[in-house]
Amino acid sequence: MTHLGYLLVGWGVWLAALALYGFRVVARGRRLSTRVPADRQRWMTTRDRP
Amino acid sequence: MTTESNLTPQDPRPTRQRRRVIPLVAAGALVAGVMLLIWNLVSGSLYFYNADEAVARRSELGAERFVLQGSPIGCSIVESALGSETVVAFSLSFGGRTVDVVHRGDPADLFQPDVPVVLDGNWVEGSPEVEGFAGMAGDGWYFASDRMRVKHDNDYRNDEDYEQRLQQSEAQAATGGCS
Amino acid sequence: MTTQVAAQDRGDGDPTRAHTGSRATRGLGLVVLAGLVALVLLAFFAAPPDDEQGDAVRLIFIHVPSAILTYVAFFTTAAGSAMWLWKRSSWWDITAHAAAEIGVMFCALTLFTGSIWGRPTWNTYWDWGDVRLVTTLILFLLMVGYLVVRSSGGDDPAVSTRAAIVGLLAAINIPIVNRSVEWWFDRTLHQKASLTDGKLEDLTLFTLVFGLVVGLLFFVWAMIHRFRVGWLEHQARAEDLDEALEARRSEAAAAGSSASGGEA
Repeated sequence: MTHLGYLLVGWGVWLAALALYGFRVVARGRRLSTRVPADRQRWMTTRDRP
Repeated sequence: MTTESNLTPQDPRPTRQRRRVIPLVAAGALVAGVMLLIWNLVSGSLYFYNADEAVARRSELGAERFVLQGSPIGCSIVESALGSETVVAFSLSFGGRTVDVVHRGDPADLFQPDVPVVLDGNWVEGSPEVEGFAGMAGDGWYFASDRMRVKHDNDYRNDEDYEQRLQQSEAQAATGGCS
Repeated sequence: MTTQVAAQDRGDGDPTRAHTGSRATRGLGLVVLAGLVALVLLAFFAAPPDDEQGDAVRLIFIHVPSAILTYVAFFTTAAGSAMWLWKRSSWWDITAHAAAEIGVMFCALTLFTGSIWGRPTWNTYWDWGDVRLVTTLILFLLMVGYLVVRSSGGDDPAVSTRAAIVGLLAAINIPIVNRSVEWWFDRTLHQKASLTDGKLEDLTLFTLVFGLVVGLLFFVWAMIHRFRVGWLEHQARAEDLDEALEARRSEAAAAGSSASGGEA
């Protein structure tokens, strides 16, 4: 395979960035979820909750 | 009633300062960004001269450095050495005009016949003294380049006969196929 | 309905299980993971090398989807910004912010993968004279500016309004970035559009479209989570404010009662 170094760096950083962002956003959600009472955890709409 | 008056924020000053500075910094960055964009769009139209334009503006350009674009002519390519430095001499064409080029340094990985190159350098009056190179322009000038980029197209192909065509082109160059 | 599923699935009342996921996002996340594995296999083992570029062409499968997702994300930010200015709806404001954050990541990846691809093919990592490259960098900087403006003040509607204006101004640059290779075709180093104008081998085209679909699914997954994070931040600030107000009221009441006790 030609240009293997460029491929590994390009693909490696791309996949790592997606994974890191994914983990980070999920971790932020977990952290915040513990701070917000259940009755305030309504994300999609504020009207469709019974 | 007294209880309500105690709800006033106690230490608002740092927050207010921060709120004044950040929009100013952001506005400055925005203005700088827009100016950079306009500059880029205006200068983008002068990024490089195609071979025919560079020939037409030769007297105006003089010894000034500029960027030249054109397609290398396969049979003209000669790779040589000047001391320890690699030199590639070739003729390129665009818009019906031909320019002789002497590039100092290693050519780009994808440098090959008919794939356009973008070169930084300047006009030099005289004949390129590179062994085995007979320039095709024949106008007493050549372009001395020291930076090469390849302008490849958006065709992503895997043709079976590609290697064969490339070998034919190289063989033609080796036997002085231009003449 | 979505809210109810999310709420049941979230582990309400148990802080160790609280999160922004739901059955749907977990399913979507698994599809994205499987898609990424399949994309790597397709890109490295099924798609052919290019005649001129060799295997360096395999960077197209991440570079082009990153660029398209940058456009999608920043258009979403622009739409959210316009809706915020019109409706003053927090939902749109949070959506615009979420899309901007994801878009900045994809824009950075577009610049990075393009640079890495440029070295073996163009013979340079970067060229300041190229319109496509510089307009993309400006788009990136403008959207970083958007995030800086947002970071300056929680739920302040004035901050949301300023950010919305930046988001809309930045969006003007998107068509310039996209069409630059057509408008300045004989003046740019960058090739024309690969997906719409290029001549691609069947498997190369399939892998590129597959990469785009996987990227879009990741974008949707990330948007859902990031929106929920934004919503929680919004609620957490409101909760903190309520608590602070309550604390002040209690302090004031206590001070008031001790003062009246002293008088008695």
